[in-house]
Amino acid sequence: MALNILVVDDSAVMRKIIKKSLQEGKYADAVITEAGDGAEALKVFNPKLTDLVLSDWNMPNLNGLEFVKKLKTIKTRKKIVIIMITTEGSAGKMEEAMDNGVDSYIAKPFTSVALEKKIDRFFT
Amino acid sequence: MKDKFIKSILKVVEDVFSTMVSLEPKPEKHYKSDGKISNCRISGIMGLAGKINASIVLHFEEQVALKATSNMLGADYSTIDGDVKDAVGELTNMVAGGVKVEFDNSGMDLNLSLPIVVSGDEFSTENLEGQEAILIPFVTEDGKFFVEFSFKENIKN
Repeated sequence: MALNILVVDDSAVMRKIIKKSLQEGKYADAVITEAGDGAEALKVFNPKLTDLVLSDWNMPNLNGLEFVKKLKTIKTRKKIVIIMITTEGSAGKMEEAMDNGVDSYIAKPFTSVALEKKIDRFFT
Repeated sequence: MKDKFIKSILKVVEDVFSTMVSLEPKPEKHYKSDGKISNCRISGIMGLAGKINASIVLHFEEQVALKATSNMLGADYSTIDGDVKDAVGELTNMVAGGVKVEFDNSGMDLNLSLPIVVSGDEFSTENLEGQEAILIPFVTEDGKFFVEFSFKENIKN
């Protein structure tokens, strides 16, 4: 069954790159929803449908970490995997993210192969 | 500190451009900026704050910005539009973010601002009094881009 993926990044170019990476690989049939920041992501997040959240950290209005904290307060019947795609790749920041419910992270810059492998860890 | 910035920028630019842009820019000798960057029509600016306050600015000649955006998105761009500005912002974000990680991993916990992108035919950048700005030129087949940085150590922290 096709994955339902929510891509959250304030850069439209980065959202396009992530979509292109997904569509060129084994997740080509994924249903992708986009949001430009954490606040917008909370509005479009569907607890019944979303399987995977790919979120940036450094965003206006509601940053990635605050978005994840709010997302974790929403009751869902299934596990929703959260992967951060971010330049905030230091060990301390990533530990903070994992402590707040992030399942994994990938540092920018990244390759399509690295992104696919990261998703594979949770969905194969 | 200046040498640490230069070393970090050279490493991060190579990583970002080879991974996301499919370009292999060649660095040239760095020099002190006088605020004028000839031929550059678009720049991305970010700030770093914490134990040091710093700015990192990426200045692009038009053809380099267009080529970088085309390579990143797999489509041809011939004028500076919203996508090109966004791509320059994201490249600036990745370079400044990479430099931040290099500093964070050596015990400096820095905060990153959001990127600002400016474009136009003629503009210059100026740093605060007493802050020296250094420019590192990078050469590509389509022209040059420059990474400019300046910093000030915060004694209070």
